[in-house]
Amino acid sequence: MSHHYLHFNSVSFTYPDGTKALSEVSFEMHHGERIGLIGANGAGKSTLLQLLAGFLVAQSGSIDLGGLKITPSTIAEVRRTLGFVFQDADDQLFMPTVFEDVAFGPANLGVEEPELTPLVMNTLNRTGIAHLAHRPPYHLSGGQKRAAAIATVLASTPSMLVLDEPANALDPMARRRIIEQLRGFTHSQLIASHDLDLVLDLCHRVVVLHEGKVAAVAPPMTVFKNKELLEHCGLLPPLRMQELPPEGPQLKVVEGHHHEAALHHHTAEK
Amino acid sequence: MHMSDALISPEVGLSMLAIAGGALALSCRSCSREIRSGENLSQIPLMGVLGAFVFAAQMINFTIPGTGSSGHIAGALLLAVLLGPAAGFIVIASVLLVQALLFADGGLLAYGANLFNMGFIPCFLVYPFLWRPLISPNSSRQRIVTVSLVTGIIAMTAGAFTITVQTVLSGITTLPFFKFLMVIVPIHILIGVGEGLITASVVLFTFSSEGAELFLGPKSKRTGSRRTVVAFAIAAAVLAGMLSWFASSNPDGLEWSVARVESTEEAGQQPAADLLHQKSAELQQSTSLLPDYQLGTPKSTDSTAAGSAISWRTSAAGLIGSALTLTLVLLLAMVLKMRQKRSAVPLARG
Amino acid sequence: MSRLSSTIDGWRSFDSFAAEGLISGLDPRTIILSALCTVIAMTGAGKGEVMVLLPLAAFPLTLLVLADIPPMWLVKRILPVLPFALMIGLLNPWLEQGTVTLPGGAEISTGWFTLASITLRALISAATALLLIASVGLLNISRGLAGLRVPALFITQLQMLFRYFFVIGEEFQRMERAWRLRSGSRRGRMPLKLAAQLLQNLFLRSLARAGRIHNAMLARGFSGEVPAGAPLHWRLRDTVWLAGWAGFALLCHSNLPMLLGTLLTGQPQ
Repeated sequence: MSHHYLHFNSVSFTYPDGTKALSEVSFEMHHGERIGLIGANGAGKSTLLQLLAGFLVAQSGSIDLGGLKITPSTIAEVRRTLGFVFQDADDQLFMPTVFEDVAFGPANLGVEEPELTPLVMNTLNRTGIAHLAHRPPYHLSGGQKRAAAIATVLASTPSMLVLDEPANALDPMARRRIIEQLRGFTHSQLIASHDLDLVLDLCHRVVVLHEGKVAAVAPPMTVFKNKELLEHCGLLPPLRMQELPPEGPQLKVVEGHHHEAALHHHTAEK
Repeated sequence: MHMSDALISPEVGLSMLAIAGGALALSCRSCSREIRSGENLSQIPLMGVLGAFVFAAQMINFTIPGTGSSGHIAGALLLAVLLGPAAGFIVIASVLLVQALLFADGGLLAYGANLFNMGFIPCFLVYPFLWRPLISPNSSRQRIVTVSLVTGIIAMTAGAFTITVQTVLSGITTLPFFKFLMVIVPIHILIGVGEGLITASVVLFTFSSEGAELFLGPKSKRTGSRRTVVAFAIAAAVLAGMLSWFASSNPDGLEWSVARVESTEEAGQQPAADLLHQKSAELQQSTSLLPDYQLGTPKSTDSTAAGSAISWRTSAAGLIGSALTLTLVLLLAMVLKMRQKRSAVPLARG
Repeated sequence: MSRLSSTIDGWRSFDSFAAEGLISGLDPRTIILSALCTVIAMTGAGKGEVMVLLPLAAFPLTLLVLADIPPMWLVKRILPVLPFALMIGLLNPWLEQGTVTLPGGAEISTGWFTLASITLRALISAATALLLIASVGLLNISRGLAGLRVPALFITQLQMLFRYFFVIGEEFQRMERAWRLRSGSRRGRMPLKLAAQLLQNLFLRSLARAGRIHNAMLARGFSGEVPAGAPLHWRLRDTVWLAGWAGFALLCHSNLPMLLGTLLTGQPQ
């Protein structure tokens, strides 16, 4: 077994309609590392994750996971070590209740009843949603759904988590909770996201994709400080790192003669 | 349109429930065999999502061109085309069940009749014997539209016809067979137009985006032939048996007309109900508090319908009695409720 | 509000009653079977029968009381059923030739009884169906059906339908709302062509979603077998409940109310 856990080795993929999604993508990831996968829309993030889960098969190159080469014949084993959290939790929570959904993975792996219920409840406790166990997913809020989706993959005890936009469309509190949760896990994590603040908070390194190619692999700070790189890849630095523009609309003083302030005044009267 | 519990008799309802339930069980068996074998794993989410799609699509009222009236899609033909007859039937069965429970469309006992009229006919008769043989992967758009339109109308009209037969056989309403048919068929022809056009448009769209071969491959042809013929034969046999049973015990069931609804003939109707009545009458005799007691003049539950003038006293007594029974049961429920409140034990599961 | 929106909201409200009340302590199979008994007894009543039917209304009303469902909730949902029953039964007073003598000596057609009977049937069956699912809940209904040996695939299908109706329905709702906002019509029908386009669009999204769900299932080791939910437990109270309602239905059918009424009014004729 190699010293790194996941290894993409010049992987290329072209869709049947001729769209070239990935070309010669190579990077590696260590045990317990959290890697952010960033890039503009269409850069190839989704394709890369789909290849990893074996939903697509690369035309050339190879992907190694824990010393195992991902091929159609090994995919069942690969999926056992991989916890895939989909972008839309509604796609992931297909069973009638949260409990049954979390039990779905382990049950498919052959875990049976005396062990199954404690395993499920334990997982739900870890994600803080044990009280929702018997609720149907359509009664949950966005943040609860996300936590449930994460619980569904944790229950299968994967050694690596793959997350597609884990904080997408969550309110700030729920987003914060998910980030803290992910930080608490010891799993290796590959996190594809447009939320660069989240990536900055969580990831040890980032892989920047641009038009199907790896544009950079580096610690988040290094990448986010490199303005040319970001601009070239169609990205903006995280909000936290953006300098405030010298003359912005941050008017705090309301004064009658300033026309913007007057506008505020006007709307307030309405 | 849904056949209603209000118009169905237990014998018609239960026979239809048996036929439709049998077809459902067979469909489930053949589909789960395919899924379990791993050859059709994607079928489960596809069926679920398309069921939800059809359910939502039914909520859209659109104008039927050239008529000014509106209709909505029933969806069974579309489901049969997209999923094959067996899976399509299962999906429409789930949709109809939810409608029966959520909107009281039809009802619990009429579920079998509705599933037969709106699911069995399009999935196991119209699709395999009309739609599928007339369409091939290189059929023109024109042809797909025409075939879908015509088969949509046929499916709806056939459904309307069976609704009429079921209603008249049940004998709750006095509407004569042909009048009923004349009322119900034109409406369903219109609904069929909408059904056919929507089916055509979604099918065309799917064929162009996903490829027609996916839905018209040799596999879908196979499932569309032999098994359905067998299913059809069984259903036809059961149906024929049912009809002959009725014909013998209820000679004027099918030709019910206004003239015939007369007090004398009426008394001899509702055969199976009579059987039940007989039983219950026996029971009543044996358990009765007042053995020599006589119910209203022409005894049995048919009395009010029996046409002979009934004393108002009997009716009043009956009404008071039923109100009393209702009150007693509700009082009991209230008591239970109070006890439940007092003990306040949370009965939450899990 | 469009029909779609009201359906989605209605569907949610259906589920909100089920969690509490005595009913949730019973096996869902019990409630399903007792509802069936009631409906069969109802349909088995004679054509113009009113008295046998009236007491049967006790079943849905008991569910209403025990599950703490606001009566107005039921009234609102049950009203749409009435026009249909009236339409079918309205001709009967003129079609039937038998008569009944009223207190004043006036004679009316037995058809009025048929009309009343059909209306009552429609109300009882609708109330039974609506309250069955409202008091037991979507999920437990499917559990109960599974317990009644309904094929597992059909149960899975039902549960998937419940699950994704919200997702697909809400997607559709957004599209429909966008149309309504721009079309200026708050209610009413859609031109066929537009409806077809909308449905095509929604259909494509649904297909894509089915693909993603399939992937999510595969990612968690799905191999064709959907695990069954928690097993059901039949207890003594279930037997009592079912036997009680089955007996009640039978008694109503054998004209218990008439007996009671005559006893009470002392009209032994």
